[in-house]
Order: sequence, then C-alpha cells, then structure tokens
Amino acid sequence: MNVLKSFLQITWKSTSGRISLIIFGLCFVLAIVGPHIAPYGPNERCYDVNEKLLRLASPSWDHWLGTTVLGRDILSQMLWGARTAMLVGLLTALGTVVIGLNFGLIAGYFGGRIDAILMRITDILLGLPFLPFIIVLLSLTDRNIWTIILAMMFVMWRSTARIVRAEVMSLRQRQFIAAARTTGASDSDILYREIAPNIMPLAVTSITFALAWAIITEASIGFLGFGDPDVVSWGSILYDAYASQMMYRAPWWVFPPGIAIMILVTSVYFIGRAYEEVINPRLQERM
Amino acid sequence: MIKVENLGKHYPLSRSLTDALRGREALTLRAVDGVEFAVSAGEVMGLIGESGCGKSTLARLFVGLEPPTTGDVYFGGDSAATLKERDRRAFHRRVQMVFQDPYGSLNPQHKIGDIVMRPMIYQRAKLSPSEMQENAVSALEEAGLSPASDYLDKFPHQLSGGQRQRVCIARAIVLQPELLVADEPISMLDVSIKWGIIQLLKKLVKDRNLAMVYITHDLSSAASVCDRLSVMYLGQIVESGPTLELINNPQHPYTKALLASTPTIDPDIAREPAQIKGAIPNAANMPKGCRFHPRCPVAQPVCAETAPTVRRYGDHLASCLNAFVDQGSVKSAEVAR
Amino acid sequence: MSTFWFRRLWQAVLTLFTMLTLMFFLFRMLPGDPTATVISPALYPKAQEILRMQFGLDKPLWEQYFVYVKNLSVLDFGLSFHTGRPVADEIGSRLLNTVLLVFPSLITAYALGSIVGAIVGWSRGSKTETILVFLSTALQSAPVFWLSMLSILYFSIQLDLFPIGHIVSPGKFPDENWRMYFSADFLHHLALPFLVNTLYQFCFPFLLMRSSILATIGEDYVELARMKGLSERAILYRHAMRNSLLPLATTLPMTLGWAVAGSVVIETVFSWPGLGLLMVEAVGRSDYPVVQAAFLLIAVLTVAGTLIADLLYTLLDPRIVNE
Repeated sequence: MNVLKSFLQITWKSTSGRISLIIFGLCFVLAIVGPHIAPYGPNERCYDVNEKLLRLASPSWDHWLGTTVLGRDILSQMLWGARTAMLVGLLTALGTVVIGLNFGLIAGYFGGRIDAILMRITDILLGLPFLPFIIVLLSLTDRNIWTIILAMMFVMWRSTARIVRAEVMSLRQRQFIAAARTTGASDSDILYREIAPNIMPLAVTSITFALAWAIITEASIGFLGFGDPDVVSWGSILYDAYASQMMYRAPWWVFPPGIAIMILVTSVYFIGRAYEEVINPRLQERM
Repeated sequence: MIKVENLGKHYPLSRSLTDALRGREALTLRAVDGVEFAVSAGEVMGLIGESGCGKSTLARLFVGLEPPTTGDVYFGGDSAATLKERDRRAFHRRVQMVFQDPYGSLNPQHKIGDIVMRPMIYQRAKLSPSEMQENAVSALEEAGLSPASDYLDKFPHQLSGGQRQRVCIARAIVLQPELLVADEPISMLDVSIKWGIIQLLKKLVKDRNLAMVYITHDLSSAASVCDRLSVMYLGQIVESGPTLELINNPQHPYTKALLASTPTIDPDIAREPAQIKGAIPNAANMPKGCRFHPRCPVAQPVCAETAPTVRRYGDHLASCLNAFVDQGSVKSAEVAR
Repeated sequence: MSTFWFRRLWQAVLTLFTMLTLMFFLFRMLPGDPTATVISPALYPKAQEILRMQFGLDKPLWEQYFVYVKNLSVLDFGLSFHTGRPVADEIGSRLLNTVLLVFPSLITAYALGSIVGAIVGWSRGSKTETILVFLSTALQSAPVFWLSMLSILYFSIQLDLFPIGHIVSPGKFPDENWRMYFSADFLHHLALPFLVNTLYQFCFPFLLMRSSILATIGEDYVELARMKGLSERAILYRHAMRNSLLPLATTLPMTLGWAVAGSVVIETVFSWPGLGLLMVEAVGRSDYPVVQAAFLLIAVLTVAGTLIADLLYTLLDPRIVNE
C-alpha cells in the first residue's frame, strides 16, 4: 500500500530510523522462522551426556543461553517467545488503531449525538486503569492468546479514537471537503476518500505507540502468570524465573527476556519518532 | 436561464436565559434576505459586496451546500429543491463552484489527475478509467495547464497559486455544469496572475455557453468580467444592472461610495471622497427601515421607518427612494413590481 | 470557577459509578453459574443456599444491583472466598501501602524529571544530554518488573544493600500496626522499590520537559527576557519553565494511570503488600470479591489522583477554569 511505502521511505532516511527498522525487521524474521530454527522445543527437557536433567545450566555451546530450573533451553524459549511478542503486539496494535480510527472518523465527522455519546464514554472511562482492568477481564475468561489480544484492544482503542476525532474535526472545516461535496460526494466518500488519507500519518504514529505498549503489556501479563499456558512468551519466561525462586542463581535466565523486550520496544519508539519528525513539520507546512 | 427568487438564509441565534425569560424573541441572523436575480447562459453576473454582506453564504446556497430558509433557485424551470430531492448527484452536475483559496480547496494528499477525476467518481459516472482520464486531461488543457500529462502526477503543494486555481477551475468544469459560481477566485492570487485567470473564466463562459456568477469585493475585476452587476449589502441586493450602466450611472448611495473608493491608476482623475460613515452593523441586529440608512450620506427621516421599494429604469434596479430621481424622463421612478 | 469543579467532580463520581456497575455486570456474566463469583463454590451446597438467600441472589437483577451499591457505599466489600473474612478488614492497610509506594515516587520522578529536563534542554547539545536521552528512552522501553528483578539481583543479592522484598522484616511487627510505618526497617524495605519506580517514572517527564523547553527556546518572549537583561537561569526558571510545565501537567493524569497500573507488577516483584499484589493473588485463587474490591480501590486511587492533577493544572493555567 502507498502508506506503507511512504512510511518505510520516510523512516529509512534518519540513522536512528534506519537502525531501528533493521532491528525490528530482524525480530520480525525471527518471529517467523524462530520456532523452526530453535534447537529444542520450548518445553523440552534437556539432558546431559549422563542422562541427568540439565537444571540451571549456565550458558555453554550446547545451550547458548543456558537452561531453566526444569532443564529447558532458554535460547529456544526466547525464539518461540519472539513469535508471541510479535504476533500479539502487531495484532493488538492493528486492531486497536483500526477500531479507534473508525470511531474517531465517524464521531469527528458526524458530530452531534454520536460524538457526544462517544466522548461521554471516553471521558467517563478516563479513570480506568489499563493493566488492572485487563487482569480483571482475564480472570473471568479463558486464558489464551486471543482473549489477551481482545482484552488489550478493548482497553486501548479509546486513546486512538480521541486523537483521530480531534484531527477529523479540524479537517472537516477545510475547503476541499466542501469542494468534494459540491461534486456530489456522499458522506462515506468524504470520510474514507477525502479525510482518511489526511489522517494516515496520525494512524501510523498511533500504531507504533500502540505496538510498543502492547508488547510491554503482553510481557507484564505473562510475568504475572496470566498468560496463555500453552504459549511461551518473554514475560512467561520471567515468570518461571521468578516463581522458581532460583533466579538469583541464574542471571542468564533473567537477562535475555528483558533485554530482548527493551531492544524491540526501543526500536519501535525510534521508528515512531523518526516518522513523526518528518511528518509533523510537513503537516504544518501544508496546512 | 437560472433564476433566483426570494432566496433567503436565516440562522437562528441562541438567546441567553434572561432574554428568554423576558420574552424576547431569539435573534436571527439573516445572512441572505430576499435575493432575486437571473443569469442566462453565456452571461456573467457579478455580485459585489464587502465582507459580511452575505455573498459567500449566497454562493453556498447556489451550489447546494446549504438549503435555503426561504425561496429557491430555478434551473430552467426546475427548482433546485426538487432537483436535489429527486437526484442529489444529478443536481450537483449542473452547478459547480470555484473557491477563493486555491490551496485550501485541494486535498493535499491527492494528485492533480486524481483531483480532476474525482468528480466523475463521486458522480458514479459510468465511464472507464481511461475515459475519465481523457475528460480530466481535456479539462486541464482547457484551464490552461498544458501539456496536462505534466501535471497529472503532481501534488498541490508542488504547483504555484495560479496553477492551483486553474486546477480548481478544471475540476469545476469537468462535469459540464450549466452554472459556474466563482467565489472571489482571484483575491488570493498575485496581481500578475489575476488577469490570466479572469481571461480564462471569460473564455470558458464564451466557449461553453456557461452561466456564471462572479462574486467579489473588487469592482475593477468585476467590471472586466461581468455583463451585469448586483451590489449586495447586509444580505440584500441594493442595486443591479448592466455593468457599464451601473458604473457610469450608480443610483444607490452605497454603490456610489463603493465606486468612489475603488482605486484608479490615473492620479489626475478627481474623485469625490467616499461618504459612508461608520462600519457595517452587526448583521444580527439589522437597522429598521432601510438597512443602509445609518451610514447613508443622504438619508432622510423616512428611511429609518420603512424599507425602500425597488425602483427601476429599464434594466437597472435600485432600492433607494432617491434612485433615478434625476433621470428626467417619464420612464424614471417606475416602481418595480 | 465552581461550575468547573462541580462538573469535574460530577464526572469523577460518574466514572466511579460506571466502573462499579461494570464490575457488577462483568462478574455476573460468567458462563455457567453466575453466582460462582459471589458465593464460594467451595462451601457446602446447603451453606451456598443460605448465603444465596442472604445475598439476595435469588432476587431479580436490578434488586441485586441496588443491594450491591448499598453495600459498597458503606464499604462492605463482601467476604473473601479464601479467608471467609470481610474483605474490608484487610484492604485498608493494602490501600495505604500502595499509596506509599506509588505517590512519593511519582512526585519525586516528576520533580526530578522536570528540573533535569529543563536544564538539559536549555543547554543544548551537551554530551550529558545525548546520554540521558538515550538512557531514558531505553529505560522506558524496558518492562518495569524486569528492572525490579535486576535491581534485586544486584542491590539485594550481590551487594546485600537492601532486603529482597516485603514491607518489613518478617516478625518484626507482628501486629502490623501503624508504628511500623515510622520505623527505619520500613524505610529500608521501601528504598529499593521506591528507587526503581522513581527511575522508571523519571524518563517520561524528563523527555517531555526537554522537548517542551526546546520548543520554547525559539519563542519571542524568551528573546524579550534576554533583552531585558535577565540571567539565563532567571529566564529558565521564571519564564520558560512555567510554560513548559503545562504539557507535563496535562499528561500527569495519564501517567498516574500508568503508575498505578505499574504498581501491580512492582508490588508482585517486591512482595509489597499493596492493592496490586492483593489483586494478583486473589485472581490466582479465584477469590472474586477480593479481585473486585482491589480493582475498585485501584480505580478510586486513579480517579482521585486525576482530580489532584487537574487541580495542579488549574493552578498553572487559570484559563481552563474560566471556560
């Protein structure tokens, strides 16, 4: 799509953007091929030459990142976890922004009752603490990847909607909207063909921030033990480390997941910032 | 033939609680109040007025952006209201607008080719993409952007002001409208560009036999484009007539003042100083009687009481009781309708 | 002035009301036995029956709602499934513990962040600036629970400077009374979570203040102040910072929401007995009344904090009140 292409072009220009794109791209690739190149299964117990369970082995040639207290290879877990982080992060971010975008477009354009209701809801639920609410939701439902994604989307979309709505409200006064109407454009024509292209930069920035938040939140959920029990995530690795009470003897267990999250989220932030730095002045100039 | 009859647009203003309790009626802002005129195909009617006189609102009424509170616009014999009800899109095909701000009226995210093709897309025209492109190209060429292929893939911010306005004009004519409404089309352009756009508009009117309403506050450009002129003040037409007649023989005090204050290049031409006092009053709070009387240099006590009737002399109308008083012949002071 | 506050308070009340209504419906919409979240399924069926009637669970929904709201207004949160005792007994101290953890560090973080951000932003291009900016962005990207774990690993285990967790050394204050909060032992236990939280929360106001000051530098009134002969420091503190504080104040409510949410994981790592940890433990035990109560109190904290943030904002920018 045009938007994706211009997004990549813009972000590629700055050094920080370029490095971040490469890092993110690597993670993306790892997310896809990780489970296939992982030397062991994520829950596979590893034994040494003497058929003894390799508990808490420090990093070695066989196990680059060592093993957990149950003898599981940490590197493999990290590779499997990459897929979870990417999948959950991207799906949540995309879903959040798509929903928020549409709500913002419709509320901002039509105004009146629809807008009033939406703003009322958003304002009232302003005090809703995100993570605790997600935990409450998860306590009532099954714990699998999809409910986690849905719970996060449910909490997140309102922020995007507010930003988009504000932007739409200022856009709809512009003369080119009136011009479009005089040529016979219908409301949906104007919303999706005239206004939406002008909102795209905002939507893209929203996606990056939503992505960063989703990755950290998913890790937090995993860390608290509320993640999908069938799925390995970087957060759940830390949960295992902490719950085993053995983490103090195995720093190699604690470092990798956090570092990975830090690198991934930093790259997302820098990508977002690189894009915004170019888009914002351009928007000002065109206005 | 496009006829405007008793066109009005009133905006109700909210009133404070105290006013409501005191039984005061809510004020209405009569942006356009009882406007009437007619434009034929191939004719340009100029609408002159200062800011706030309601001419932009009038433009929006013509083009169907807002429904009138009173009256209607008639295309041939058909009223705009019925046309819109029957087929909104078909109505929009008949009248198009060129806006004042060439940059603001173009979507910055769309290419020029897109912009000129969009009207056809929005009209759900049954044309193939190549046919649409052909139409767009010929519209652009007619608007003076040649070769059009150079412009198709450019964005608005890559063009100059004059070029942008030509794009707007191309967009306005691509649907082959009957009536073109030009709302201050050159006021935001550089002086050197203005003339070119005016010539373009004149050419289009002639070539396509368009009817055009040319709205401006600048008398000099109106004089070179328009066949007939109407002068607007506070939502009403105070004088109208053939351009030359109106300029050489203005009858309404407001018109006289406007003419007097128009700069002329020749410093030797002596001009009477404009004699209007004061500023435009609040449009929500209209003066009683003749709306111009508080500022009129020749106002009489009766002007504050009753609104003046429209007087005519041939094709020339003016709503002032002093109009045509010194015309001398029997035909003068004929009260219109 | 008063209309603004009236509206604001009304909004806060409405928020809380919506939230408790939301909780009411959420907990009763479970597939299966809707009362499983109100009466412990661990009790004997006969006992469940009695409790069911006592709680009015056989009555129509709206009546139940009425009872629910009535109970909440007298701070009756029901009985814990786990201990069988009233939830309200334990939750008071938990609330206090969370407040003591979240608010001091948030305030410190914002104060430090603004000042450092202002200084760094004012004196552009220094090495310190680049390092700090990079560190802040990196620190913001790391999950705060991981930072907590690392800090325990290093400061508590390696250096043995701080205790590993909990609020006081076990056994020291068997009654857990208020005296505990004034002891050195308490401060010793508070130190590490306070430090981690402050460091983590520092990043956002720091970065925001810095970019805000950068934007202000070019403004006309700064030039004017310079021409008047004011010292750089005076300009910074008296003029530039005042205006740059506004964006920070606007974001304070949002940050507060994050901070309260973040306390959930911090409390878990440090075994700090606050609302967050309570909620997490309760979810693990399917102790729904406790989950509900903990969540509601967290929400109350967030809303109260938002109101205070708004108060600060009106002090900074009087325009908004006269709207």
